[in-house]
Amino acid sequence: MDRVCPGGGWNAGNGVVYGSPLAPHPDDTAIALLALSDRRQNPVVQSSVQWLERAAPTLTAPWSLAWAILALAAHRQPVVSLFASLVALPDLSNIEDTSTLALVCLALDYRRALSAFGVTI
Amino acid sequence: MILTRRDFLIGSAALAAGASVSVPFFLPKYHSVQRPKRSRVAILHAEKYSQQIDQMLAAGLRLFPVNVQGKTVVLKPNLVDYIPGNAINTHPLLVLAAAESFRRLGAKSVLVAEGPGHQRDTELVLSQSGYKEALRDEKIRFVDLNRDELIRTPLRASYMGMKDLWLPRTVLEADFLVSMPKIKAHHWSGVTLSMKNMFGVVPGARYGWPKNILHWKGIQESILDLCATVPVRFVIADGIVAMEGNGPLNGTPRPLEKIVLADDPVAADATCARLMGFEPDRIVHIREGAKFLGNSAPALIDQVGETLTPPTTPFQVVPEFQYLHAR
Repeated sequence: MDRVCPGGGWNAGNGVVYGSPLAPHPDDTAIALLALSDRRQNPVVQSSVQWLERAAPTLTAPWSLAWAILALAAHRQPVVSLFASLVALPDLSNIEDTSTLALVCLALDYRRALSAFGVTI
Repeated sequence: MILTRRDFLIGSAALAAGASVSVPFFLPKYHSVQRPKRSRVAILHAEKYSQQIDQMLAAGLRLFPVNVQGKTVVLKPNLVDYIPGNAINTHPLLVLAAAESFRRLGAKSVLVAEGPGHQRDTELVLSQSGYKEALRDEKIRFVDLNRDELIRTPLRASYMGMKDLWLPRTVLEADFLVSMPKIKAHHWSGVTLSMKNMFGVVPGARYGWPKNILHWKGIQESILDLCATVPVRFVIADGIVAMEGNGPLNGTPRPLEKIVLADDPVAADATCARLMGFEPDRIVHIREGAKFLGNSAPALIDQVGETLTPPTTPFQVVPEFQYLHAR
């Protein structure tokens, strides 16, 4: 929680370095939010959900978009339009990286995926 | 004085014991000396990123006896993350120009490979930074080194204290590896140039982001072990717009208007450091690298192209690295 970026969200390291705020990453933020899905009332979590809600519609890469769908769904936010964006990605059938492919599969079936990990939505 | 056999044995044992303690401090941590007798560096003047870079780079490469005929050339840019307005990454136009030049020089194949150090989503960085479209248009293959096939590789130096690292097959099997750094000040290593750029070959899928193992084992040490193990054959450094201050992500763009080419990464980095107004021997990995990887002394570097002129105002650095400034 102490690594959160100013304004919400997380990246791979510190939120502030030498006094300069660093930008959050969608995937890191989503992973943190999934881990914090039982702390929905926490202000840090809420600001991070809001940041991800703003960032997610701009995403064009399946990895980040899939993570965003899973995290926002876990925090009971609407993901219908994000889901449609993921399905419509032009390169979706050409994903070579197995971890990205697996993540996209989970996002395309996000209710069952989250349930399997014990997250109630 | 008569030396008895007993005295001799005690003396020998003492000598051996003393040596066992003191010798390791004098032993080099590199396994072989790869340093060329002389190195060549070219400084090219380029005011902006434009289509003219193509011709300029082709002309610059003719200053070197580069032979890539029938070889697989891997271009390793510095592609870390994308923050609008920040000069973080090697500009895609320079990478395209390099690919075109090496193709014209007869390379069997030219590909671009990188494992972004800060951002896990490589495709997102490629897309945001303009690489995805540029590489697709020019039909240049990109390999994500964070997720490439890995080979357990013995290290050829032992500064980190590790015996091996899992490294990407694409890099290990390259015939001609070109480090293409962005010239930047760095808040943890002083500078990030062609040698530090090799952090990108360490796979995040195995070692985490931001390449955690290298930070834990020591940045300067990791740079030396990596450069000893994965030899950089050529350097094309992007200093058209460089970065000063709190690099590698949040520094200030600094127009340097230079492209630096070199056949030796140590010579390249020493030259870039001088262009930044730094004393190269105060940068640990350059000083240590000059013992076995390449040349940092001006007397051992054939300078071609533009004359090396230190800046009137040196690059800003974070307070911990003020001592880098040449006086």
